[in-house]
Amino acid sequence: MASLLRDVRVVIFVSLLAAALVVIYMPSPLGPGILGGPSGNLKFGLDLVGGSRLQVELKGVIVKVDAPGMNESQIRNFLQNRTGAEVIPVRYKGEIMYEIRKDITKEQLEEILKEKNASIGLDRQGKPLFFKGLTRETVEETRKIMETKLNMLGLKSVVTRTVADNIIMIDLAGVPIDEARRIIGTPGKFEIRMQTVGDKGDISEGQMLSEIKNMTVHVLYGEDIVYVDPMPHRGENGKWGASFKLSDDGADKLRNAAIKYGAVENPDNHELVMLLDDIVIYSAPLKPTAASSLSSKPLKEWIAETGFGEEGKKKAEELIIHLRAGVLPVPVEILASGEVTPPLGEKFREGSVIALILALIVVGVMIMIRYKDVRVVMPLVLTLLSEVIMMLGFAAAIGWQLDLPSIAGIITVIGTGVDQLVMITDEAMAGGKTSGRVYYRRVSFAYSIIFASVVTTIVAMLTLASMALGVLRGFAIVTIVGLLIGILVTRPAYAKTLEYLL
Amino acid sequence: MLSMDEIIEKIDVTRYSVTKMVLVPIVIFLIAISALGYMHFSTGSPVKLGMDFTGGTVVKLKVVESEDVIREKLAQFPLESVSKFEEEGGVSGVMLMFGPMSKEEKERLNETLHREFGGAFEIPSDISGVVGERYLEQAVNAVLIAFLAMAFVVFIVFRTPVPSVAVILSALSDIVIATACMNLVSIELSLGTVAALLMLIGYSVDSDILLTMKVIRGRGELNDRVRSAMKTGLTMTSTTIGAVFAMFFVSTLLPLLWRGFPTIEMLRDISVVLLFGLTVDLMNTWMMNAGILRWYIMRIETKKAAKYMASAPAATSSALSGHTAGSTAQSAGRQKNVKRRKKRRR
Repeated sequence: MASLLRDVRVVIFVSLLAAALVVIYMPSPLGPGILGGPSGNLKFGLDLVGGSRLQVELKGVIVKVDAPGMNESQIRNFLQNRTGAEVIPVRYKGEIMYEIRKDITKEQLEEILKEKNASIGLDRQGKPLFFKGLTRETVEETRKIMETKLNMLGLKSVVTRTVADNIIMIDLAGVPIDEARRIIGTPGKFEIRMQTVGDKGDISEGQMLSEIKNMTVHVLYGEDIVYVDPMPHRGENGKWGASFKLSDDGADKLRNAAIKYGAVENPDNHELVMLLDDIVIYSAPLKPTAASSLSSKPLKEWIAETGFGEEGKKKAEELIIHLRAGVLPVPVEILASGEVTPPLGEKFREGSVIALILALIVVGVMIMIRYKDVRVVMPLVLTLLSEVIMMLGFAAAIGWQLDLPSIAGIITVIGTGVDQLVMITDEAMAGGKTSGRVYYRRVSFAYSIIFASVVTTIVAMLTLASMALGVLRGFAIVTIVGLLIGILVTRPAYAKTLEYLL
Repeated sequence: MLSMDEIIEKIDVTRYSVTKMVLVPIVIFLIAISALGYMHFSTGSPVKLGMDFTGGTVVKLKVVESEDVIREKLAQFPLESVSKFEEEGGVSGVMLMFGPMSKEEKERLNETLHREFGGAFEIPSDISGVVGERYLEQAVNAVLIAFLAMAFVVFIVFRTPVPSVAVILSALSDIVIATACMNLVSIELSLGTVAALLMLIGYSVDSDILLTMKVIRGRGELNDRVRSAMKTGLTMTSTTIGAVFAMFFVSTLLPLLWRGFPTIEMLRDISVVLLFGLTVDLMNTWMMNAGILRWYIMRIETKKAAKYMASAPAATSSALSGHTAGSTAQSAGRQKNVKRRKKRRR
């Protein structure tokens, strides 16, 4: 026994199994561990807890323009005027191209360009440089804005990820899908109010309009904000903030309110409150300097300070998005949406657990019928069980959300796993009691077959994982990880154990 | 009751002619291809495409109205099917499936549903036709690439055409017949079934590679080699079927036995396709692939025997090769005799 436990293959196996259990069950930054119940630190996807998923396409094109006699900014302005969309010059493979933030066809664009005797530029092979899609920066910016907007709902979790050049997938745990659709599709209502009664600090972020309505007055709405600096501003005092400009009208409104309600004399008790969709997102007093200059003239340029350090910067970034009322930089279309209600998700989770346990039991019984030898059945079933635990440990370690495809992946890996263990067992037992060398030759024969089939399956699963829309990525990744754990860790340990037992 | 070992001991692959062993699976393969071809020409697609690929909208209406009334009220929309649903907690109603619609149409549908049925509806799933097309394109590519990659790996492993082609043909047949079976029980092509077809590639080559390795690299009588492979291979496939059956049981049978337990469509799709594929794989591996391999081994051995006869006096290059050639010549000779005897009987 001691010799078996000293074998390097067995040691690796046991330590990986222990590591998987620790990752799943130890309270850690990954989660509450065993305190969180039998599922420990495992995270579940939407279809197992309930929630909605949206697939959103960002509309836009990137194009090269050949326009004789026009410079970059002339082309940009021309396109902007004629398409009515924002146009951004971008560098792409050393070429100047234009990102048009609107859904426009090649023909429509050619039509517009004709007016200036311009045309769509060609690449070296003579193909027109016109793509549907947006630059990575634009997609990333849009994704962040969506995430910030959705986070305002105070959801359990919002996961957004870019799955293709212009498609963003959004997972929302526990939100009815209609609400999610509305939030993504429409900009919010931005409002600035001023505190009239109470003291400094009476109003805090996250409060609803109804709670603060009686202690504040309306000052202006979002349309009076004419410009928001996309970058957080860092003041001389080191505080981060969001800088924005008001229209002439807006500046007057703010000044009048400040004078009328006494904010100019007593700024501390008259905080400026910003709300998005009737939720307080920011509240702070006027700076004494700003308050005193307001008494003489309206101020158009403002900075809303958010604090020091990384946290202050992050808050500033969020505030910038809110100041723009969550307007997305590009038009979007919801391509697909799906919802699993929480009770249904719970049933799916129960079903998954039953299926996993049942699969292990069925395989165990069949193996028992086939070999009628506990020395084979015990290690075989325990190996399969350990593999499942290691796969789950891996999922917990990388914070992977287990969804139905992942569960299907685990069960199919049990299927391939038992195949491979049977091959090893049959080869190992074929010659009866044999010397070590013959044993290894037989087992390595089994290994060569296993290796070939594992390579084939991994290649098949890689193609599945690379499908850009990625719904089945969970299935593919779990299968690949399971096969690798099998061939690298558990098969060698199993062969060694079997040699010892037989 | 006979144990599996005893049954396998009784199997004698040389008793059946190669033609019979190969012909049955090939005929079934051809029938499956024609069925898919027929579907393709009559509907434009060899399998019925599910909502993942066509796009469409599912609406759950929590009302008690007859199907006719609902169909009449929604006559202007591409309503494809109406079915009843029931959830735990007494929630019941009808599930409506719509074909792909434009953005404007969807908005109109939303308004109509509000007007006609109040707010008592949910839209659990909505996929635009554009995404569906993209999914389909990627799914077809994924299956093709995976298949080609598998073929490549198999060639690398065996480096000889006949055994490689036999393995690839067997995998192809598994996929084709499993797909035809989907039509038979009217399971639509979904993301889940595509995953299952890809997984089938892996499962299929498992037992085929085992058989081929044992037959080509193994020693002893051909019959013993096939039997030894079969003993392992049948255990493998049947345990896999067992594991997949667990998935099928929970996703498909449990909802029938336990009212209120939902059908888990993703798992049902994957498990049904795998069950079909694995069962078909038994036939393709142990009849078609084994048959082709037998023919191949006999041909090599006959050739070797002929060569050995011709060059017998000069065969001193290696004692081992001389020995193998001798023994194979014997077995080839024995098989020829069997054939001759059979012919005489006819």
